[in-house]
Amino acid sequence: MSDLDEAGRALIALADDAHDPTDMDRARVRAALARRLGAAAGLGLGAVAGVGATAKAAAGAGTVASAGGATTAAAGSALAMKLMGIVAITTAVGVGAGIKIGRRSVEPGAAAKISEVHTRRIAAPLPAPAPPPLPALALAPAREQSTIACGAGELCSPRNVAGGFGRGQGGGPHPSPPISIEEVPPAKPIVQPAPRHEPRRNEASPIKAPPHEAPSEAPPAATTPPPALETPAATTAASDPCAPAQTSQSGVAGEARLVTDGVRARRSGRSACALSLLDAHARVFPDGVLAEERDAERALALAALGRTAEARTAATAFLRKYPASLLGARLRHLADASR
Amino acid sequence: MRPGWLRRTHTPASAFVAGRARRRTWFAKVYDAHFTFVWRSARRLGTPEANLDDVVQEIFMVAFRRQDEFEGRSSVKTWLYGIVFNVVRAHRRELAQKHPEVIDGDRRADSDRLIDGGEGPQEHLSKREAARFIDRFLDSLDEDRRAVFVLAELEQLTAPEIALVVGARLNTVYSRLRLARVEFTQAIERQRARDSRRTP
Repeated sequence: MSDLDEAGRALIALADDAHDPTDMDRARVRAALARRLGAAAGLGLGAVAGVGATAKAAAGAGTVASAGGATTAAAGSALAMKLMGIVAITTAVGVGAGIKIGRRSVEPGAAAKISEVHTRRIAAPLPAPAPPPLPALALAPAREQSTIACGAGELCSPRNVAGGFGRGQGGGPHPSPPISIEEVPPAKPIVQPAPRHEPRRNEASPIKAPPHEAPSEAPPAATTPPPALETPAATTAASDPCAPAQTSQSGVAGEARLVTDGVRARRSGRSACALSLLDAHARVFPDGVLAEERDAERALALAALGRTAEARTAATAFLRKYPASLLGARLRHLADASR
Repeated sequence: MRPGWLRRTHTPASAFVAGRARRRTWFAKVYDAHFTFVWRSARRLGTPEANLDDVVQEIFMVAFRRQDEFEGRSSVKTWLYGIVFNVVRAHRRELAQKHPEVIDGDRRADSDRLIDGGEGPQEHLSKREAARFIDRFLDSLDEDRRAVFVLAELEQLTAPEIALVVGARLNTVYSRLRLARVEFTQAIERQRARDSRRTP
């Protein structure tokens, strides 16, 4: 029912996909929603895996999410219902399924919560060789309610995580060696960029303008077990106008925070701020799991700042380093400007 | 303190579980199929970039809570548009009350950026400029016309569908659309005039 003139229609057609979400947007919102809705939404995450499967599903955006997600959700939430409603552990299948999903949490993209757990693991002095089955299982719903439960609950303690994963892998009565978060390989998801796990700062009032606090520095990545909790640098926080005062997050959470806040800053027009956040990420996590996203965002931020030559260099370097990256599409035009 | 999952109450009845499973699948499908347009529409209807994540989440939260109301009375898309429209409007009103500078500030920032944005090859530049032009134009419209224009011209809904979404009469929709189109044409004319002054 359009009777705009030619120019108007052309203009609209030109801007047609300008407001579409990026893959990162999609992954980020999906993860956040899955956290809020838990098992009830079935957003490809199931009840059990919380962060991990969310991230996985989000990363898989299309096929992986809908195909894998459906089954994951079914198995996972059935388990959650059992646990939450009556705490009856009956079916080995359910347990297996749950734990299998739990295993998926150990994806590099699973950011904040895992590393929260990871942090605790570092802090927790006691190594528990064989956790009793009940706590290990109870991990499942606790993780589903990730924000609340992990924040407060013993059940989310690292040894349970490790035990849960270990059992999942062993599949038998004898727990195999726990797969700790630290052992996660830094490999990227094969088809999609590592999803963003955005720490929800304000669960209660979601519509408020985000506070834009920037993250703190943290120990390098989850891939190398840091000796202690001391953060390697609180240095940038002081000098950087975009960096916050608090230093609470470590590991992948810190990474995700920096990059996510960088993205937000860039999208809200504060490109300089974005750049400083992303540079901070590059300093602290040069080879972090979100390095790919950071490099892409950095190029975009440079472009937004009008630093064309640097943007071009960054984009070209990105495309060389990650030739198969889906983020490349957004950078190609920057790199092409040089040819 | 009890862990979060213990604080929730769930009915373990199997019927309940089955119902939940069905809803879950349905909702996940809706989410996958419509995320893009929800995001896009939330932007176009005037959510500030910085709040998009939260608003889109809220839209799906509402959709999730209200899925029982849906039951095929309209298309899923129209139903979702209605939620998008309401959530975005509520959000903008809240913003306008608490932080009037946010919405106005966005507008100023956008027009500033249009002037200094000069990098990139032509194809990309013009695409981006088109997007910015449309953003600024939408920001210049009043809320009602903006919604109708977005839904009709950008999202290609029919007038009866729009009437459903925005809860207005069909004639009102037509009249708002007509006015918005006139404004759009005028905006294009003004932009042309500016361009020709800048590059003689």
